[in-house]
Amino acid sequence: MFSKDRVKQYVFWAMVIDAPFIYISAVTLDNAAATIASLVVMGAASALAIWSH
Amino acid sequence: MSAASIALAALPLAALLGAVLALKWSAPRAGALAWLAGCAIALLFFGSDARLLAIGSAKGLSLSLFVLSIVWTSVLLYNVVDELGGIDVIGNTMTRLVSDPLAQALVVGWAFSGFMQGIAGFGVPVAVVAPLMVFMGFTPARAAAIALVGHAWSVTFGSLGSSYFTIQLVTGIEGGEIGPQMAALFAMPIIVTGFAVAHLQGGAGAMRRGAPLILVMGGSMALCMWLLALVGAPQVASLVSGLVGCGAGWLASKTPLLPKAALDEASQRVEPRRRMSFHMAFLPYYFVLLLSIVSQIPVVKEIGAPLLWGLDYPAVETSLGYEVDAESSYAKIRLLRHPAPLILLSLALTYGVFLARGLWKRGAALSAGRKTYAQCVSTSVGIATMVMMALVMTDTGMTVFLGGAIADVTQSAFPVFSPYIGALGTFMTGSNTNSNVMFGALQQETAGALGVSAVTIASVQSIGGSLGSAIAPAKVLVGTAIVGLSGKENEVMKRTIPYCLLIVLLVGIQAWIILNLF
Repeated sequence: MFSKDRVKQYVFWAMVIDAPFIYISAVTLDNAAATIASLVVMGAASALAIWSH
Repeated sequence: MSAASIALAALPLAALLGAVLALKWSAPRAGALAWLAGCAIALLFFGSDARLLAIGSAKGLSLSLFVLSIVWTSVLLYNVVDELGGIDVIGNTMTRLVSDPLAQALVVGWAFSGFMQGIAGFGVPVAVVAPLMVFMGFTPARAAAIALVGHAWSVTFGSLGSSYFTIQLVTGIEGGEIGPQMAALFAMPIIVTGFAVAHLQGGAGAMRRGAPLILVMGGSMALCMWLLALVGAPQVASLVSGLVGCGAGWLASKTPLLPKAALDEASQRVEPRRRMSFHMAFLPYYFVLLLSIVSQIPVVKEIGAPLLWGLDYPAVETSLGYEVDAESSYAKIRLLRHPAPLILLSLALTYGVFLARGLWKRGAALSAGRKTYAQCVSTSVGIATMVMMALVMTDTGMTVFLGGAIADVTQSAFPVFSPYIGALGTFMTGSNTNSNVMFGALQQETAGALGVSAVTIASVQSIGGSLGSAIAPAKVLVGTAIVGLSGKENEVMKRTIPYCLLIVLLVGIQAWIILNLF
């Protein structure tokens, strides 16, 4: 099992890495599938933040 | 405008509020929940789609980068100075210079804490000033309460202006317009927080005895803040005002302006041997100050004009017809004007000077970096999620909708309630910046719907947010933990809440008078 402290780090880095993908998918590429995928990653990170913080 | 629509538009904020206040969740946890709720409601009820949500969230992340770069670099700077022993030197010097307990409370708890907010923010003033005051002989609960109330005047222009720049970005009001007005509106709360600190130190008697000193210090600080906002240097307005307040307090406390009181044992304390002078300890902040001033010189501004980074965003429209204009270089970071690069340059200059003088401690930067990372990770998640929620709400029309509803309910009494909204935001999130992000656009929309000055209301939002720092659990926890009162937060909060509520009310009344009588 991962400790909550470790998950907090993963949440932070997932958000850092996903941030440019949200912009690129929605603005640069304007691609619906990529946009949804990037939002799902951010949503998963947020769900983990609710659990870990 | 049905009640159900209003309730839905308010749900993300209600989720945030309920999570923090009722469930006692941390800011990152509550922010994540609120962003998820905002996305779901925007998607289901406000005509949004995945692209619109992504664009709103990306704007939120752009804005977060602007703000968090200031938070990370200012905390890093503080930690480096602390690693080098500079914070102890600065604190000891302050203690040696002022011996009267009331003057100590005012100079250290009010002015110096404002200065610390100016350079670091992020709970650092409370973390530094509260133990310093215990060191001077104050009881732990009183020390923490004085630090919390004392620094509350300086938060908006603190952290090198992060909250101020945020309200500017969120509302789109130019700095030249909002800066001087906000600084002028700060004059009253600055002076009243001084009286509150005196009351915390020694009750009504201390307020009477300290009145001339408070007026001299508060007047100097307020004038300084206004002048710096006027000349376009708001990022150092709290820093310099705090410094001026310290100087004015130190000088005035040596004159008959402060009637003498018996000295206690704490004032006879022997200062430990120092490794460096005060000016050397203070050097990084001198550099920040100097570079901030240099960055405002017209030639430097002109040279630096093309050196900026910001993302472009397209215009979007919801299926319900709510339109958002395209943005060019959104939340732009100017290399020669944004506080983060200036702080990093100050750090590099400090490294050079300290190395040359043999004062640099091996591993100081690495240790400070580790501390900074540990301190900033949770805050970054909290700010990012809350800012994303705020921007999703704004881009999908929920904020405008709520603004209209609030205007309908409060009507002409809105200016009185406006600073409480700002204070509530800070109470929930522990951050004036977050409060401005969450409620800045809402307040602006409400002002527009009521036909009153958006500049005044946006100013009052941020002032309320600044004052809310005195009661924000996140900051109270910093104070109680550092003075050994963990688990006894109520002892501190019951002291700070009455002062905060009263000063915020005075700010609201001041705003109402200005908007209705002038």
